[in-house]
Amino acid sequence: MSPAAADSAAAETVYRPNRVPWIVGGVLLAGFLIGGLLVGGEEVPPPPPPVPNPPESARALSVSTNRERLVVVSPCAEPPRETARQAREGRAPTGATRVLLPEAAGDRTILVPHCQDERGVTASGTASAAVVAASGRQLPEVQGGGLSAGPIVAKSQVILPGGSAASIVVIPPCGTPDATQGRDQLLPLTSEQVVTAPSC
Amino acid sequence: MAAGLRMAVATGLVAVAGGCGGGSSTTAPAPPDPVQMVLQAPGVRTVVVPEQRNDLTVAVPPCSAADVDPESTRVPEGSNRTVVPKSTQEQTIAIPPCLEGERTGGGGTDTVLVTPGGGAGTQSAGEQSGQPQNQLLLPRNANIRLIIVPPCLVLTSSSYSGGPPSGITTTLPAAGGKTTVTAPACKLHVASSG
Repeated sequence: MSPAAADSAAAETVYRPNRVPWIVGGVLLAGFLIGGLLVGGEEVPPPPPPVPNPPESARALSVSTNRERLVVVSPCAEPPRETARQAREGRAPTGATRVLLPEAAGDRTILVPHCQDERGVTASGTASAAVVAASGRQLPEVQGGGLSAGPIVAKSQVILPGGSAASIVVIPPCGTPDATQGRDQLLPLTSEQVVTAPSC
Repeated sequence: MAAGLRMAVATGLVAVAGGCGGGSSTTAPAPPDPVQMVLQAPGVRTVVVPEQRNDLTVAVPPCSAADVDPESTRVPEGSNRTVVPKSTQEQTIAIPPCLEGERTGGGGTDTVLVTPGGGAGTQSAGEQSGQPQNQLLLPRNANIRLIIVPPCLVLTSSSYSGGPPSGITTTLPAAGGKTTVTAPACKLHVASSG
């Protein structure tokens, strides 16, 4: 190769446009476009089908308020026996829910939400809860049987009859969904001050 | 029925909000905690009751009487009355809102949610979900025997352009010589899309 030809080849090498950035940019652009289309498709999912039979998330307690009654919901993972012992002394363990129902005509319905498996029912982890209906008020029924208050659904009921002398009712929450298997339970008539609902 | 509808609407909003921004993970999400759903639902009013030396009656008027005069000490008929016994550790009472139309329809605040623990837990939960709560704080060992808490009224308006007064934390007075306190009314304006 002559020196002139070599200079010409070198100049061609130097001034030839670099296509690599254009190729990389094009691939990235195509990737963004395809990804955007896929993500955009996920943003509008089809509406979920209606739930005709919502899952159980609580148990119900029906209390006759022909006298003043104190309802104590045990903390999650706390033996109800310990809650009952403290309730007799006018105390309650940490994480228990205490509600005093004044004397009034009619019954009061309380939904006791189940404990969650890992996190507990509140931010504190082991705290219980109670949804208290107004005196004499009926909660809406759900398909398949049960009572609901918004997202909280009970499919079994514990009943404290009006003839009970108990002034304190201790009820432990259930631990797992469908723990009650839809069974209703009537608390025994007793002369004791404290009556404890059976565990699930 | 009215409370169930209200809770369903409110918690449905939370469920939809929680579903936004979901990733492409293939594992099934854990079922939502219904108690947290109620506490974080829009328009829910919470009352934080620290330990008291007296029994404290909490009366929640029905929707038809939610516009309570703050100077009044009379409990409206049909109110949901619950009592927090004295010496009870801090508890939070959550009151579902009244939707527009229930005021004239005579609906009632059928249910309240009671759970132990106080403002810190529920507030952080609300903040996490982007739904700050309308919260009432009661002083510890206040000399109050009765508190009347009207539920929040959720009003829809196509012309309203102001921001909703949500996320308010109100500390109720220790009542001085009074033993009854009525919480201020709560109205949330929501712009309708139609």
